[in-house]
Amino acid sequence: MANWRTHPEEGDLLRFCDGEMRAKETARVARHLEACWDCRTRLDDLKQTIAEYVRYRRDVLAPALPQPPRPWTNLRAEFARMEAAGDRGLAWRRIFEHRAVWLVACTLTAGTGVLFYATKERPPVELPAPRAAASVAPPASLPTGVRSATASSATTRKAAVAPGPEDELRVIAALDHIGADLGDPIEVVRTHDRIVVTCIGLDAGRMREVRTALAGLPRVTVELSPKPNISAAGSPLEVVGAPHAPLRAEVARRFDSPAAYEKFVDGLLKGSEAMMARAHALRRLATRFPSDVEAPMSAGAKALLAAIREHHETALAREVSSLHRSVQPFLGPPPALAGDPAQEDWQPRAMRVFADAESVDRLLGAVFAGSQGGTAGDATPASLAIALAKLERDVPVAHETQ
Amino acid sequence: MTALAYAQLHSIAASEEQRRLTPEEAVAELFATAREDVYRYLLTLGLVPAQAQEATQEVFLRLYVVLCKGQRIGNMRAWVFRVAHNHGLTLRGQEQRWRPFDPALEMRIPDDAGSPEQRLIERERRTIIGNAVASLSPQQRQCLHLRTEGFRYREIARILGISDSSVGEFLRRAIAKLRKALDG
Repeated sequence: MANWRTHPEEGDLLRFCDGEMRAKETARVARHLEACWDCRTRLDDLKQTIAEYVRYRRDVLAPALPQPPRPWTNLRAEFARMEAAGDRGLAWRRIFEHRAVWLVACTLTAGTGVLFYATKERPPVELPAPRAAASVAPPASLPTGVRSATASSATTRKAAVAPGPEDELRVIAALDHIGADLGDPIEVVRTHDRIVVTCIGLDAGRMREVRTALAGLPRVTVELSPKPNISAAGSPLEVVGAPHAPLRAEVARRFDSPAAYEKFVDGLLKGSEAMMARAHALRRLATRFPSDVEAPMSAGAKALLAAIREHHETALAREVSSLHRSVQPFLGPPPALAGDPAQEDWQPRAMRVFADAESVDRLLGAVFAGSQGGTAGDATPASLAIALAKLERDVPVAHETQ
Repeated sequence: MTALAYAQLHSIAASEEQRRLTPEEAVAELFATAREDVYRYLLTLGLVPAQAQEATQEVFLRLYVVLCKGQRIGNMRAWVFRVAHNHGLTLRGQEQRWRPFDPALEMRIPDDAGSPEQRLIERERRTIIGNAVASLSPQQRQCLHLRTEGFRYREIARILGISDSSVGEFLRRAIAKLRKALDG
């Protein structure tokens, strides 16, 4: 649906109501609904039908379904029985529960990482440039859904050692190098013998870029997940009820025309998405490489991790500054926040930055675009100013970029 | 921020949770909270109660084995439903007949409080929606069921092995059919 001045279709209303639209689309539908009684009534009908079904399921269907005929099995006892029966996987798990074994495994992994770095012949901080992919990239004609494992001589050498955080870091660095850690539907998972990179619904061109970037990295399996229509993936905003119209009307009055205001809001939402992509990438780094995982890593790996982190922080700071400059005229004087950011590891700070960015994202949508995510009662310019100030306080390089 | 990004966040949070808990704890915890949901879902696929209960337990044991082998699962609840769905279809295939859960079941409308007239109207309304639900296609019913379980379109798509847009379309058609029935 390209033109939101026309009435949204039934499916769009449902996606809107289910929070399955992108923030921009959501805001546009919200604006249309404000103006259109007819569509608001259609939306109410839709919600009413959903409510009828939910009530039917709860009051009629659920009580009528037969109860389980037997008491539920005690699963813990079943786990013990399985272990006693000598399941190989379970036995390995038991072995790996001992800290000493973990220590040896981590040392081996770190050692392998160092060896890998020593043979990479590149400055430690440099983000890895993709190697020539000819020998390892799978044929472009591979159908969707087919697994393609990259291979190299290193694969054979290291086949007996489980991939460690440094191997995963190299994969993330390679993805970061092509900007594929900023919202592309790519998931990196470390299993017992390899790193699985799952790409969901990427187009062929982007897929080739990912393959090229990862080619040459040992024990990396690129998995192409079929179909999902990315355009259907949308915003998690749960838009309920009418947006905060009077507030937005006041802001909109400062613009020459509704079109100018719409352009301004679109710019804000776009900036907010870019900010969230960076905040998400930072948080992902913090969760994948907490301080206890980072500490035993080699100096080269730590420097690489720091480089990726600073890259995201700088970009995030730039996005936040730009957003702040755009909305400052509507916010009044900046609030004074107590205290400077404490000296702490970057990981907890990244988690806080993510929470701050999420607040800013939600409040920007609520104040300027009329979308409401969860609790919208605090959606005021003052609360947005506080959220922005907190974010700028927690993003250390924010002021350097202004 | 996109739903995809949220799904990734959810996946990370779930992985973190998983990292903190042992496989026993993680599976036992999920089993306590989700087993009834999985059991009900399997009933709606057409399994008989004993079969549905056994299959439910088997799915959680399978999850335990997979976690023990070191596999990290982003959203364990969605994983359990996906495996239950596939397992349920296999079992149903072995039985070689499709048993939509007892249509008479849907007609056991409880009498709520209120005047006799209100009860009659309510009963009629529930019968209408019950018939409409029974007339939905299996995919439409599964999508509705999973959406009511709180899954997002992307998760439903993964559970059922279809695309996100198909989920949206199945839901749209299902709701349109229910609306039409209610409007009479």
